[in-house]
Amino acid sequence: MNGLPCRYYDGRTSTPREAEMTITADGNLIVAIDGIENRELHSLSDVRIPHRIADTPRHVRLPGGASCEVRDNDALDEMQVRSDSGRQPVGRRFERLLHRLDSTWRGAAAALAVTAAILLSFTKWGTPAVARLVVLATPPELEAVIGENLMTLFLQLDVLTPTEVDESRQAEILQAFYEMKDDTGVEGAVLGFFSSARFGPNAFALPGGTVVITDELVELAENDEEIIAVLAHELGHVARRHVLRRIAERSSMLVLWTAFTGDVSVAALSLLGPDQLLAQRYSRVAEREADRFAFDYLLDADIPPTRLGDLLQRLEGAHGAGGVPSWLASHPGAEERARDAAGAAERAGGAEAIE
Amino acid sequence: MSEGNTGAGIDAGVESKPDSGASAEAWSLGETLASGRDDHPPVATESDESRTQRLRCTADGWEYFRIWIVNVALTLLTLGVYSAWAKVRARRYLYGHIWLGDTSFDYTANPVAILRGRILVAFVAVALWFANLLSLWYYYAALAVLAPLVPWVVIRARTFQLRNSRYRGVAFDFQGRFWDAAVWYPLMAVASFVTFGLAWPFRIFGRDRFLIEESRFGNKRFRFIGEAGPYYGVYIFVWVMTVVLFIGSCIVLVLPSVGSDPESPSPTAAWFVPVFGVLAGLFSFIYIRARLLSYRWSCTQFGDSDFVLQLSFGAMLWLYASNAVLIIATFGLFTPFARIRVLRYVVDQFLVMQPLGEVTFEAGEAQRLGAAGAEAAGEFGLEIGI
Ligand SMILES: [Zn+2]
Repeated sequence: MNGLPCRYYDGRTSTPREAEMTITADGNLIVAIDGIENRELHSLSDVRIPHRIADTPRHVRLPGGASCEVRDNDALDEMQVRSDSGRQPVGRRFERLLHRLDSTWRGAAAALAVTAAILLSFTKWGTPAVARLVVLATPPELEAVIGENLMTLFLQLDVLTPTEVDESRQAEILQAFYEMKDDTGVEGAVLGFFSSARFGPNAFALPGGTVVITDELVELAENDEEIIAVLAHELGHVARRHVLRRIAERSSMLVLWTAFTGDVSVAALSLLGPDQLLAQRYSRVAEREADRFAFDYLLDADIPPTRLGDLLQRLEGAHGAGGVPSWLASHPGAEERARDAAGAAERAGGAEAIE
Repeated sequence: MSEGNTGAGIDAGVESKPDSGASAEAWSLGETLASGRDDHPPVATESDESRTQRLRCTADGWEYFRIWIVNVALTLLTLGVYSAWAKVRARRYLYGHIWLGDTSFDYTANPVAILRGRILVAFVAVALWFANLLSLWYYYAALAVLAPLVPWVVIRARTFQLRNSRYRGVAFDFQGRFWDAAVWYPLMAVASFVTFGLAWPFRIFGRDRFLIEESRFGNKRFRFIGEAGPYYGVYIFVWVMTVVLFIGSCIVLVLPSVGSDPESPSPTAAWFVPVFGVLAGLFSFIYIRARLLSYRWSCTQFGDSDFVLQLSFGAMLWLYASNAVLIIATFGLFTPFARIRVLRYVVDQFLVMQPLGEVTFEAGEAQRLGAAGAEAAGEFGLEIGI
């Protein structure tokens, strides 16, 4: 008998014994230990032969806790094929496929191509779609709670501090804001005044519809129309639920990359590059949407859309963020947006002339 | 096919002869360790009754990369379901390429058990995420409900890992009890928080002792002869160095840039604190890891066997830093190589001192009771990094 050399462990002690293993045509496995005299016979259905992984030794598990360590993987494969005699079970076929994939460069290249295709198409179409679904599935109440939590955090960290804008000025701006809400039909938006040394002149929208405008921005604006323009832009973010979408996009990317690298911390590390680029692409798309929302409203309200561009350019001066190319900046450059605004104004003007 | 792997065949060399070159090097290391370092316990002195064996790692980065990328592709294609099988495949490769003497280790976990465990963990994680979104109070309430389960999870995870690890047909095992785990996991962690971290080194020490002393290989338990002092040594060194370096670099970097106007913040101060924080975090993490991993293993004994592990901080720093850079630069494709680099370094530093002659280990009760008992333990393959 020409058996496959292996090491037999009885599962009670660590003493290895030289043995030979044979798979017979009638579906049995015979182990001859320390020579032919000492033989064990098992039905193949009681024996577990693990899948082959590269050239890692395989431990064939026998009933009763014993095992045979086989190091000649090719011989074991051959023996299994012979015993299958043509009809390969599905499991065996899958095992063969796996081994072919991860033992050859062609297989690895195919896996790499599949992975890249899935990752790329997911980032291109999957993330926005998932985010849209998440946004649709999130009840406004939950979104409001997320926004409140964020606001509490800002207040606790003293990022936002009580406003020093006098009440009559606040009332004027609020009045304009409510009119804007009514005209555009954005329910549930709330305007809050805060002072913020950290954010400086700024305005932003939170999930749930709270729009925050800082004292510093109120001061920087040269007229009320500029403030209305900025508030219209933020209301655009609220109307499209951009912040929630952004949160959903980034979380779904992290989940995907965790599946890719198999580890959350490694995922976060390897996402440093792609996530930054993607987040900026998404946010630029969102900014454009918010700008378009603002231009539409401003034209309706007979305010020149260039007001938004004017303020943004002054803002850029205040933050000193000049010289950053637009594909890198999270907001499209103020200049570019000012041009858009001018374009919107011109188109509107042209339409009037034709009328 | 497996070009980097020719040495792992049946003829894997035994590096156990006391007069071989490798052993001589190992002995000299052992001696420096015994005489020169006060935070290591004295290791077994040279005698004719013992020999030194080096653990060897024959895992190959490219080979592991292929296994990893196929695992990733199938995991993505199956929406994550395959991840349990992927885990077992990767683990079996790694275990099978760590050699002690002429035999490598074996990982025997059932992927279905791991899948069940992962579904459970995913369910809890999603619930926590929702609670966190709704309100911090729900989140704390959920944590309070889960806290009593922590010791149980710790024990199940370690038991699962050890029972599925084998060497020469004999399984490892873990027999930690609920209340011991409860002391070192949630309770001492809370105590460390209350004492502003002062109890933390003691907690790490107690946790290591618990995890090691309740571990078994076959029917024998591991022993841990370490003390809390060296743990405090490592942490206090890190704390003091952090403070000293912070003050020092403040004086050198930030003070000169502070202008005469005390109101305007200095431009250096803006980037200094975050950069210092990241660097200090990275350095302390690697330093603590290198020193404690070395100490932990060097204080572990099994029967008449001793272990020695001496990791160098510089080498670990280089490994982790270069790995991080390469992982970022390759969008994560370097991950499998990074794992193998660290594994190879740690495994290759690992020495086992064994009595001469053939050592026979007997299987533990759980294993001798047959497969049924072992399978029942693996119903939920919970895995956590402990
Ligand atoms: Zn915006």
